[in-house]
Amino acid sequence: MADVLDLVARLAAFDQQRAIRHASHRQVAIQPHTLIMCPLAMAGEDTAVHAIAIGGINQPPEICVIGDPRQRDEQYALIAWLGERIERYFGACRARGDFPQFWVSSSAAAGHLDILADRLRFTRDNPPIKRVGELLTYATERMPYAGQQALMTATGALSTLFATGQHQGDDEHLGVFLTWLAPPPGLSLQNAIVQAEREVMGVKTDPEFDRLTLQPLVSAYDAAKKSGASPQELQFRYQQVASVLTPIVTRIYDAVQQALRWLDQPIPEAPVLGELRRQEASAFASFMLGRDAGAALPYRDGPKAAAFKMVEREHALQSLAADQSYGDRMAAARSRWTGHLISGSVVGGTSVREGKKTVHRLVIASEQVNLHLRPRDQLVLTRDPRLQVVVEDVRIASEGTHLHVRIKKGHQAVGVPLTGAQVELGADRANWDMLIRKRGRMAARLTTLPWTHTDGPAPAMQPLAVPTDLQAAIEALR
Amino acid sequence: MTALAITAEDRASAAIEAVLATQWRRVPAFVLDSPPGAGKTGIVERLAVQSFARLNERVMIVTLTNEQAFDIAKRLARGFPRIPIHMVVSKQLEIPDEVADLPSLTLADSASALPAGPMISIANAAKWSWFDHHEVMADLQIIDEAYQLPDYQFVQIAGLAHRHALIGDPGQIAPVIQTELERWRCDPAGPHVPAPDALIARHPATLRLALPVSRRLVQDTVSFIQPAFYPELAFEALTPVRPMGYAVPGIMPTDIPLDAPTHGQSMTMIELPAMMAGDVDRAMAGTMVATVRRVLQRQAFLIEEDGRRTTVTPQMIGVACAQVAQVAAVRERLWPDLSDVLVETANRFQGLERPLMFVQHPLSGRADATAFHLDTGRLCVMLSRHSVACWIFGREGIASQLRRYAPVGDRALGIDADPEFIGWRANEKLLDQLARHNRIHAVPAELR
Repeated sequence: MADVLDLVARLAAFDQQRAIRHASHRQVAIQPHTLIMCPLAMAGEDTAVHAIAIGGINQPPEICVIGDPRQRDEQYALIAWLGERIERYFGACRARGDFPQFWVSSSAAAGHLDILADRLRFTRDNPPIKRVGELLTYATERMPYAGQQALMTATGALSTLFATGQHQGDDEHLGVFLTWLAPPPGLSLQNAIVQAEREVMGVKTDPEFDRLTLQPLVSAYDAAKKSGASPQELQFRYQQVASVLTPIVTRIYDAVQQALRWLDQPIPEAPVLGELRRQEASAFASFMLGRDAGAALPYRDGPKAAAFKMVEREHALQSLAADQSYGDRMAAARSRWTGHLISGSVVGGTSVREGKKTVHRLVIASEQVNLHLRPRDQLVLTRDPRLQVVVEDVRIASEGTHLHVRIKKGHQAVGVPLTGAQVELGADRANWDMLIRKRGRMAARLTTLPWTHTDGPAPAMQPLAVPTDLQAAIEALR
Repeated sequence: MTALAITAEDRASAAIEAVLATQWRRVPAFVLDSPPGAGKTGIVERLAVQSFARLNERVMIVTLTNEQAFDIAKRLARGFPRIPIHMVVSKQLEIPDEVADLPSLTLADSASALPAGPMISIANAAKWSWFDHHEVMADLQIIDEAYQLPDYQFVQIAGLAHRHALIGDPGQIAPVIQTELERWRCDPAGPHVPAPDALIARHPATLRLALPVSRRLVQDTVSFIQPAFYPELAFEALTPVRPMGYAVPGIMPTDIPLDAPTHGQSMTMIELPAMMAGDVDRAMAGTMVATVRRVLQRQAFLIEEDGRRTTVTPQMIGVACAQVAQVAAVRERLWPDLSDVLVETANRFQGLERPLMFVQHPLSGRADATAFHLDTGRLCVMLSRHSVACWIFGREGIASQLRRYAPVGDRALGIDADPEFIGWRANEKLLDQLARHNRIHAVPAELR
């Protein structure tokens, strides 16, 4: 249902013929030392990097291009070049107790790094290359965690802050997204988008460019190498390949820089980002300790590792969902729309002595269409979550809906809302640290895996004689 | 020589004996597939009582939700009042009075609060996973609604018992997991897979039993539900028909679908004019409540086996919707006179039943058909909660919507199942069957 608000934002953007901001707070953390990475893969070779641009915010890129990534020594040279920079970057982050952050253009580029990390970390004959794969795995394995800040896509980050007037899938082209943000003067938006789409912004070059331009150059390079050409000729052939790829990675790199400038709006950060930074730093520290200890980074998980990962991912997702509606006005509006936040005014209340304590009940009138609640749900007052209430009933009234709640705790600290007071109720804020306790419990519980989750046989047990008429014997106990 | 006819009752009884015998035979783990209304919870009770009282064992019962734990506690306490039971709950949990007041029930919040000897303890899976004891503490672990328990939760509690009974309905809602699962998509025993399926993938020799009879559903309903949702689990109804009637005859055109159950038609669809209503269709909610009210105004009654008439009361009626916001829209309209009608989502309706059910079709009034709305389990749960009659409410155009949103066929290597396609096919089949049997009644406008 929150999609409706996104649709409205897209319609407004379409109406205005430019992207509009649809968040009151910045939704992603931008590390000042962030590393922008723009790799280009070779067509048909998903794990082969032909060229890469890398650099920090507002810095010119360092670019590495190789003649033919299918040549293992050349590919390893590029990966080693990249590895030096990543190793240095991770070391610096670790020394500061901070976490590293990579920025790529789009989810296609992030997916490419994911495949690359998987391939490199299982390299058997070259430990330094394997190490690069392991380090990259930190970022790529963090990617599925809700709220992760390790591997950021420029398109994904822009869409947290801005809505374009096009289909969500089309937002994945960074050049097009930037066109929506700043339509060029003197050109219709549609024509500007058509032009932007012609520029490569992912990890693959244009097939026509590959066929007509790149392939002949790479073939010439390969032929020169095979025929034992002079170093000068080889260098010339290499330069020709580099001269056509360098402008492409540079354009992608510049586009990511541009996206980062758009994200650096003079608006406050979403409050949840502080916690997300803390989580990321902790995940990075833990990952690096694992590297020091030589812990394996398997491609497939056993039941224990999978359970830990699932618990962590679900925890991240639920915690982020709980905290997102606090702070950002659009996020709060989405929660109101879905009925996870309930706004209303107190229209009645009772205080009744029950045993030793006084029980306070409130009737809250709400005009919201959607109410995501049911009896016995526990909610908090969003402006002061110390006040907790339990839903007792939901009834339709002449105007809107009446929500009947009982105050569970916090009335002495916060006070009982008076008749006429505007209140907003929602789920309590996330307890991010619960994961630490949960992991501790799981570690203790799973010290030895139960037979149900090993490949070993089920334990043999001595059978007993089966008496007759088992049901009757049980019925006799009623 | 005279051949003895084997009845559905005989088959049901033999299946229960086979389940109970597993514990004497010391079967380390078994999976019990159960169609809707086959008496899963009754088997959970019997297994627990047998192990506690006859085998002097410690039993832990695992549910998915607190509501299910409350339900089992109530049934055990009322069915076997002399047997002490324990329920493990957190101190903050709101416990309904009717549960807290059960005389044979003791609430516990830690391992030290449980007895040292034989016991029956109930808690939900999450609570057991947090339990402050990490060694084997029970002889038998019974998991109710096991197909809703993902393997990553099962692994956290499996080590607490020697033997395992995984009981569930394979046609119901799969575990609710929101996170991205790409990493494990090709793993048939992955952490997201329902515990019984993962156990069998890991240990193919695991004993698999099935209950052959539904006690809740009548044969008319089974003839719709079984082919659409359980093509691989054959079952029949114990009761061919449960008649009902009205003291006040129907006089309005809209009474026609309400009268269908009096002619033995236990499933009927009421179709409102097409409208894109989004998730919350207030007119639909109003129509459903008006229909509930009309059934009660006409003094509906059920005809028991002995011919007695039981007047239908609000407590005997349930309303099932796909989403919580839809539930809220119906529930608020039931106040004040119909507050006892149970209105819940499909997820929460699992394990529960009512004689009369009013179901909002998950695809009603939508422009799309997502995996959530096509989920076979969700619709299957909603259409199998009734023991007498079920009315399905939907906007016109669901069939064409299904045709427009045919599944894309996104398959994972090594995994045979395609839940989206299965859901789509089940939806198609059900609508087709309803149409073929003239069970779809179009009403010209919303009822008030």
